[in-house]
Amino acid sequence: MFARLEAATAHLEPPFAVLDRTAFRANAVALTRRAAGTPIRLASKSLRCRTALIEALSLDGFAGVLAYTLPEALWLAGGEGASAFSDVVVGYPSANRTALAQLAASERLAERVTLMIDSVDQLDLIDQIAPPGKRAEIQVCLDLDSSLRLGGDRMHIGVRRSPVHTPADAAVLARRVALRPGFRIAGLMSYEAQIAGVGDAPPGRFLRALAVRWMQRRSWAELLERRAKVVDAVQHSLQQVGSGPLRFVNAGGTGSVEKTAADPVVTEVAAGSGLYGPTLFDAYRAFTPRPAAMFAVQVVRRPARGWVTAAGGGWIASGPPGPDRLPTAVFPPGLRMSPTEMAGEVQTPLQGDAADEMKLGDRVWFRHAKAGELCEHVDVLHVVDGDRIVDVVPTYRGEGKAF
Amino acid sequence: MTVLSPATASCANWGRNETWTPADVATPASVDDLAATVQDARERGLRVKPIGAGHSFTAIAATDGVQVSLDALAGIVRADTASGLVTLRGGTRLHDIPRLLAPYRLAMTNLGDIDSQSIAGAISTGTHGTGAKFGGIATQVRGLTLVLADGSVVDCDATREPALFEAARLGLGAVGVIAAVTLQCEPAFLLHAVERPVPLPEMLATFDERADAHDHVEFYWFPHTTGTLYKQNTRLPGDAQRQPLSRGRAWWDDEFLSNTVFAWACELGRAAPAAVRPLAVMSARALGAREYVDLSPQVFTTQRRVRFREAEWSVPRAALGEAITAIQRMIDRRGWRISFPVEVRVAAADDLWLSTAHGRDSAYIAVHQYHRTPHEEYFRAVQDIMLDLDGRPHWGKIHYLDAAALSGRYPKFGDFLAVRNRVDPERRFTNPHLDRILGS
Repeated sequence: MFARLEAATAHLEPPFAVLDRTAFRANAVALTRRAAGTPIRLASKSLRCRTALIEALSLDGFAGVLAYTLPEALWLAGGEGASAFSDVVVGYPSANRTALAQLAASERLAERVTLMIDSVDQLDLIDQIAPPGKRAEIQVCLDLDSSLRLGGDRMHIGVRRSPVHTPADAAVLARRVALRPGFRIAGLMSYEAQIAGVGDAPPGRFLRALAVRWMQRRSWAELLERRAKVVDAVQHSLQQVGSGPLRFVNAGGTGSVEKTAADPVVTEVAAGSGLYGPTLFDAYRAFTPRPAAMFAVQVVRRPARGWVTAAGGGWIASGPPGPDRLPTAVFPPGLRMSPTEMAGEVQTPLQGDAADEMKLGDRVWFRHAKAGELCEHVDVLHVVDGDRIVDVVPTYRGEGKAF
Repeated sequence: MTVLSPATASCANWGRNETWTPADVATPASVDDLAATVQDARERGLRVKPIGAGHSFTAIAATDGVQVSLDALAGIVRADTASGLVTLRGGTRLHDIPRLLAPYRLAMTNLGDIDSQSIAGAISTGTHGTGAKFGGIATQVRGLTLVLADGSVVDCDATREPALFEAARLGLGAVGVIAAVTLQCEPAFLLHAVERPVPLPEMLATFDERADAHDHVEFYWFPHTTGTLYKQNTRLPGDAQRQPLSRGRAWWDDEFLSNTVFAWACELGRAAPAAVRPLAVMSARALGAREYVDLSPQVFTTQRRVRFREAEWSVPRAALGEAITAIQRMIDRRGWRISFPVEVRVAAADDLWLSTAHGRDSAYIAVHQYHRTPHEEYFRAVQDIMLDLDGRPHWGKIHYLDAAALSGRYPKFGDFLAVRNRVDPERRFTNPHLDRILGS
């Protein structure tokens, strides 16, 4: 594969990033197969490239976008050729007053964008900015906390997100939202981070793997039951106050697609990282995406026998800091980082047998730990098909956008 | 965005009785991709054959050209709770449909007992369930999106392109590739299932009445015994009280006895044919009476993990008794050891051109053979019996007829061929199996 990439990109000066079209396509098809007919809402955070988003959304198994900020959602939904972005759910609550005012002022945007909420405080904020009656009707989605609570709530496994945990919480919130003028409940979301985002086969950590699998089994059983009750309770609340039914129930992530899709109350699964195939997804048993996004840096010095130093390389992923957030040198094979320096902002020393064969200017290929964050470091992705570059497409950053 | 992979290995169907090697395998993920795939194959002068789950026992999905996997074309395009019309992509597997319909509180009217097939494959081969008032799955089809041999995408139904629609909704894959299917569904319902052993003479004497009196009836006769297992499902409204089988009982009957133990019995019967008769007697007794109420898909379908080959024939309902008696006599006379039960179901007459129930209320008789045991002699003998009774073979199961022998059995066979000639004059979608049963 790397002979192919090297040939395609011989004329480029590192650092640069490539997107392997065949791998991207194969990953997309694999995701739709795992979803077995349940539509996939594309997590834009994991791609951060409009062309890649449109490419995936042109497939019949994908529908809608899960954006990560409201300004981003407005940019996507308001852009040219925006038919691919006519259904954008912002996956997290927003307190951006400018963006909220912009949304409230446009019927077209309000029709295309759905806001995430988990309390009426967020509605109060919107009403302050633009009172109901003087603005477009705002669509909202209720965020359900999907974490596992054990020992009478003393132990919380999962992420700290929404305060809405029980069916009663959800029913009360749904009722209060539905009764407020100027808002419409479009959907319900419950992202099971502790299942979708935690690898159950971390390399070399067998006991952790067993613990993760136990936690995930237990959490899944609890969530299936609770989510069905929540959906029922919300639908019932909506019916009581004469509101239309939920348009969608969203859940899951790349790590849990087949599991989440099999839940009969879920109408769509969210996914995105599986398209680029970053290293964090090497630690799952259920599937292995093909690495589609990669970046190359350049050797600039040779500090000793068995060592080379690359310029740059420290493209670290967010989340709990640890070795699994570092990029991984994948070609030439066998290169390791120096334990005292690791991936540096400007310099990344690498040790291994391959180092002695390398000359100044040679490339070291890396994979990023997370999917879309890679695009924060480059203006364009070079799309490789076979052994040539077939397209050069701008990332969000390349379009002058940082959300 | 089609993923093309050169075929590295040969393909095989589920029954492992047919293998073939395509030139390419394409996995289109949108209707446009599918159309582009067909067009591309045409430019390269290759034949095209879509495949779903590969559950046909014939070589109907085989090709030496481009094998189009429909696996990435799955899911709901739209669903309307009020009218019950649901559009599904062609590659959607039957076992995924209940879950996809659940949020709309809808269900399919009738299903077969195996649910691995894709919806496109199931309707194209005339897959059916049982029920004297119900037709096969293809009778539930109200519209189709087809990709034709020239790469064009056509929507057809009873009013738009009606002849194409009539041909393609049970089209054997000879007319076009099914990108999407619109089905008439109905509000989700429960089934009250009653299963119990009934002696064969009593079963044959009363089956007609039972079929008329209850919604969905079928029975399994265990060769070498006079035992049958009778199943009767009665439709209940969706808000009726569920009384599902306990998980333990369901596992014991459907997983342990019907799959695990049965697999051992088949192997044992292969090693020592003399053991088949006592094993059959045991099987007929082991599956005892039970009664439960559950969601329709749970009741209609069962998991079958023991690999087998199957032949299935449709005969006029009145001929059922004669057919079973003839099979029974033949097995005894030839001294065969048959470890699989013979399955009997019914369907209402319909007007689909190539439906095995075209123009007549039908009984279906299916015979099976373990995949490691030779089946041809048995299946040919059954075919001879069925042909005398005006039998029509199931299009997805093993038979030995050709176009000349088949055409006289279907009044609309000529109309079907005319549509095929019109939309696929170059025979982009043919293969040796279709050449045999439809002519080249």
